[in-house]
Amino acid sequence: MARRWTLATTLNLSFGALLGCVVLSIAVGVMALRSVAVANDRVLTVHVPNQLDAERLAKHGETLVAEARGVFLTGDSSFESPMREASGEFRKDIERLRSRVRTEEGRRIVDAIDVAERDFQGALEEVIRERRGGMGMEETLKAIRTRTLPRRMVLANQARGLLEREEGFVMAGQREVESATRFALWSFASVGAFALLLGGAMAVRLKSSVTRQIGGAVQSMKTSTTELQTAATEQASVLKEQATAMSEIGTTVTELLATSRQIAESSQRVATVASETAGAANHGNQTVIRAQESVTSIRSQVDLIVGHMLDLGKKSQQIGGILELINELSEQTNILAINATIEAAGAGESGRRFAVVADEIRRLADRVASFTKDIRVLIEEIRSSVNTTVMATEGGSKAVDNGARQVGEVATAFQDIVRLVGTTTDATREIELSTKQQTTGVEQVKIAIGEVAQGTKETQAAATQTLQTARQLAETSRDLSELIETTGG
Amino acid sequence: MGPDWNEEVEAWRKAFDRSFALPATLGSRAVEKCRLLVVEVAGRRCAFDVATLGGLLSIPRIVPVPSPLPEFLGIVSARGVLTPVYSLAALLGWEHANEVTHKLILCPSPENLALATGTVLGYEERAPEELMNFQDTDPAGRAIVAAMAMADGTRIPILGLGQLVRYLGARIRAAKESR
Repeated sequence: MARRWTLATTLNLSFGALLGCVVLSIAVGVMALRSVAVANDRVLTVHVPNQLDAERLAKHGETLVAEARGVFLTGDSSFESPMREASGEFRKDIERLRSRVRTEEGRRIVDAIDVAERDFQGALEEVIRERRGGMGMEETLKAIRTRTLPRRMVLANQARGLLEREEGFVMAGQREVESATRFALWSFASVGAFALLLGGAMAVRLKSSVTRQIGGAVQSMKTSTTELQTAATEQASVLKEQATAMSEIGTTVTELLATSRQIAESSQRVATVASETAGAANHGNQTVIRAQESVTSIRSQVDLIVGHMLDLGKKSQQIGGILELINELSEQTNILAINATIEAAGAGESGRRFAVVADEIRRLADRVASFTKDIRVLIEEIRSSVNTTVMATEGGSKAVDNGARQVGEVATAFQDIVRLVGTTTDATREIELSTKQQTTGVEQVKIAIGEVAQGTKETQAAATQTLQTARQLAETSRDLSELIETTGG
Repeated sequence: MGPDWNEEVEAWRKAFDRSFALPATLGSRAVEKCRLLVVEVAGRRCAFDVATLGGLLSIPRIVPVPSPLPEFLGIVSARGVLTPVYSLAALLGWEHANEVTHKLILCPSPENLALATGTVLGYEERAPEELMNFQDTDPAGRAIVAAMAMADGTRIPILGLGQLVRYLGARIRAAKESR
C-alpha cells in the first residue's frame, strides 16, 4: 500500500531533502575550504616564514662572513660592530626558527646550525684576536683557510640545507593546497549534482502530489465556496434581520431607559412619601397611645356611670316603695273620706259641712292616688330607662372594652405599620438606588446596543464582502481547476 | 311628652285652697246628688249608694268559720265588733273562683255583717235624674238592683244594700230550715 503524504508533508520532505543537500554541500565545501585553508595557513604561517627566516639566516651569515672578512683584511675595529650586529641577527633568526620548527628533524637541524654558528663565531673571535695581536696577513689568510673557512662551509651547508628543506616544505604545502582545492571542487560538484538530481526527483513528485492534492483541494474549495456563498447569503439575511431587531431593541431600551428614569423619580417620590408616612405613622402611634389612655379613662367613667345608674335604680326602687306607701296612705285616706261621707250622710243635716270636708279629703286622696299612679308610671319609666341605660352602659362598657382591645390592636397595627413603613422606606431607598444603578446599566446597555448595532452593520457589510469574496473565490477555484486540468494534461 | 307637673300641682293647690274659700251652703249640693261607690266584683262593675253603706274597710285578717252557706267567709273584727263576712260575688252568684277581695262594705246598724268585694274603682256623683229606676228582679229572680247608672257608655247596676241583706237573711233562714 503506497504511502500517501499530504502536500505539506511532501513540501516539507522536499524542502528538507533540498535543505539537507544544501547543508551537505555547504558542509563539504566548508570542510574542503577548511582543509585548503589549513594547508594554505600551514604554508603561509609555518613554511613560508621558516623559508624566509632560513633565507634571512643565510643572508646574515653572508653578512657576518663579509664583515669578518673586513676585520680580517683591515684589522679595523669599525668592522666589528656590523659583524656583531650580523651575529646578533643570526642568533635571533636561529631563535625564531627554533620556536617555529615543530619536528625533531627541524629542531636538530636548527641546533646543528646553532652549534656550527657558535663554532664559526668562536673561530672568528680567535682569528680576530690574533689579528689584533699582530698576526700578519699571510698568517691571517692561512688561519682563515684553516680554521674559519671549513667552519664557514659547514655553517653555509647547513643553512642551505635548512633553506632547501623549507623550500621543499613550501612546495609540498602548495601541492597540498592544490590537492585540497581540487578535492573541494570535486566534492562540491558531486554534492551539487546529487542535490540537482534529488531536487528534480522532488519536483516531479511534488508536481504529482500538488496536482493530485491541490486538485482535490480545489474541488473541496469549490464545494466549500458554494457552501460559503450560501452561508454568507444566509448570514447577510440573518444580519439584516438582526440589525432590524437591534434597532427595535434600541428603541425598546430607550423606552426602558425612560421608564427606568421615571421609576427612579417615582421611587424617590415614594421614598419621600414613605418617610412622611413613617412620620405620620409615628404620630398616629402616639395618637393611638393617647386614645388608649382616653379609652381607659372612658372605661373608668363608664364603670362609674354604671355604678351611679345602679344606685339610681336602687333609689328609684326605694322611691317606688315610698310611692306604695303614699298610695296606701291615699287609699286609706280615700276610705276614710268615704267613711266620713257615709258618717256625714248618717248625721243628716248636721253632717253636711262635714260631708263637704270629707268630700274634699276624698278628692284630695283621689288626686294623690292619681298622682301616685302617674308617679309610679314615671318611676317605672325611670326604672325602665335606668335598666335600659344600665344595659346600654354595660353594652357601652363592653364596647369600650372592645374599643380598648381594638385600640390596642390598632396600636399594635400602628407599631407594625411603623416597622413596616421603616422597612418600606429602606426598601424604597434600595429600590431607588437599584433603579439608578439600573438606569446607569440601561444607559450602558443602550451604548452597547448601539455599538452592537454598528458592529452588526459592519458585520453585515463584512458578510456582503464575504459573499463577494466567496464568489471571487468560486471563480478562482474554477480557474485553478481549469489550470490544473490543463497542466495535468 | 308627659303632663306638665308644675301646672298640675299648681292647679291642685288652687283647687284645694278654693275648697276652703267656698261658702258652707255649697255643701247642700252633696245632699242633692247621689254618691256612688263603684267596685269591681268578679270582674264586673257595680255600684252602691254611699248613703246606704255603714262603712268601708280594708279587709283585715278573716277568721274562717264553718258554715253551710258558701258565701260565708268567716268573721273579722270591724271597729271592735265581731262581724260576719260574706262574699259579694258568691252572694250574687257570679263566678268567684279566683275572686280576690280587697275591701269590706259594712252594713249600717242594726245589721252586723260585712260584704267582701273587689277593688274600689271610684267614687262618683250622679244627679237623681241620671239614675234609671230598676224595680224588676235580676235574671236569677232576686230583687237586689236598686237602679242603673251609665258609666263610660255602659250601664252598671246600683246594688241595693238593704235588698242584699234581705236576700242574705232569706238564704240564712233557708239554710237553717234545711238543717
